[in-house]
Amino acid sequence: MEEGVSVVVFAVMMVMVIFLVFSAWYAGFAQSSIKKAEIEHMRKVEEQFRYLQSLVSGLRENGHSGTAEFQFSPLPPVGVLYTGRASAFWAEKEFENFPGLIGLEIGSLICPRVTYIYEGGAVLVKQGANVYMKYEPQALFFENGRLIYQEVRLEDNLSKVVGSGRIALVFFVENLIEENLVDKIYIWSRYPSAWKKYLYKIRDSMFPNASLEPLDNGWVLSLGADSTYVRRILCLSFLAC
Amino acid sequence: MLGNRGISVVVEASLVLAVLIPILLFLSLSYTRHALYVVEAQHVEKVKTAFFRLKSVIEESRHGEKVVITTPLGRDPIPNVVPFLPLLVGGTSPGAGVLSFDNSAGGRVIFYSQNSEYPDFQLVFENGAVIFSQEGGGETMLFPPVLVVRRGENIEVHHHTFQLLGENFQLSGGGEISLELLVENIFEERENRETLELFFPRGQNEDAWWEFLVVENSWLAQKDYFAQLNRDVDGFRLVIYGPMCYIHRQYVIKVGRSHP
Repeated sequence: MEEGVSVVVFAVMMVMVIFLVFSAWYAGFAQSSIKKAEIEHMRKVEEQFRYLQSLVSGLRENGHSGTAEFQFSPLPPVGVLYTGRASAFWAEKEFENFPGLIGLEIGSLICPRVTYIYEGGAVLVKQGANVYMKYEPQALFFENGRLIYQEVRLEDNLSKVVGSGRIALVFFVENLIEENLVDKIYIWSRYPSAWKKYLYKIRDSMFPNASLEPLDNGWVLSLGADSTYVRRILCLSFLAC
Repeated sequence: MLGNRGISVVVEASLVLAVLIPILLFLSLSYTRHALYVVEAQHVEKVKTAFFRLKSVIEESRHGEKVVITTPLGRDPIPNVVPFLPLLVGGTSPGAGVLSFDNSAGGRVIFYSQNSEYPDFQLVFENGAVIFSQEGGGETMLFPPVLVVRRGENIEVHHHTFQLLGENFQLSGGGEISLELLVENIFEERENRETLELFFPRGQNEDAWWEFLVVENSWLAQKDYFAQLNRDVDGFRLVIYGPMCYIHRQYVIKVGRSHP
């Protein structure tokens, strides 16, 4: 009788040990799988914003169009019960002169929450209160001896869409405006601090005698009273599906 | 002869196995089922991305340009998270899908996936749009075609249509398949009109086209353009009132296939 009891106790203990080892392994596995899927998704979103940037830079005439897509959530990892967290996507144009922005706030369980933003031809990344420029725009350049300041302006709004699917936007050039201006170039932005490094780099390399001053919602680059430039505004509309 | 000690060891081993084997079987079956759901969901997303690439590459292509798009046919095999688990349920073979090209009615590239857990789904590229449909779940326009209106001196209506040419084919299996697309011609015509009637004939994915036209019509109204959408017996009519310049671009594309 005593022999039998000890056998049962031993069997139960063996199972418990196996479960304990399995649980410890599974916790690590689940954590690393979710993290891997979230990092992969972040990379994918970055790629999609990079694609948007190159798509828009290729739109040069009225009526030109192209499609961009954005994936809200990571592909679910195998072997893990993953519910994920919803992401938010929106496009906004607050004021008349502002370029407007397209944002995707990635809902992550393990990785920190990151928001990718397309603004004025640049791709910005926001994490907490910090915003930095991930991919620079081609905002200031010379074309046939003329200095061009190219601004990308969104003409439509899209209220926040929250979910885990994907969204496609068909972009097209609503209007292409060119105006000849003198001296001051105003660069409006919702996140002026993110543009600082890029604008100083441009100033130092292209206009060493110009001054660059911060504004509440942007920057002003003063070239000098004799300097002319062309302000080219690419007005973009989009249809969301 | 086994003594008491020997018998108790055999009983002990049998008890451990009797508990472990059902648990492992249960875990294995649950894991396989769950993994199939996940791998099938991943496969849907991969095919959607491939079709998005198909649409965007065609939109950006130029006359004479040749592009190759690769799409996964079947789902990936279930990964071996715990090496011995799949042995208990008979292996983890990859899934299969079918890619076909139908050159009737302007041409359609169709992907059909046979799923084990999710309902089967179908993705269709036709006339510049990508349509997703699932058994019992209806259909939806995943990526819309280009039909945009902008203000110039008059309004401008830009409409892109696609004619796909080539021999019909149907390929099934696992792995990946590459589609070759050759832009044979791009025609552009501009015409001044007072009104424009765009006709969309009823077809296999008419619900998705209707859904798109409803969205397009409401977008036009929101932008203060005058348009009217009618649902007739033979098809759908979107009438846009001008005066306008209608800019119609038609892409003629030859579709071929190649296994990588």
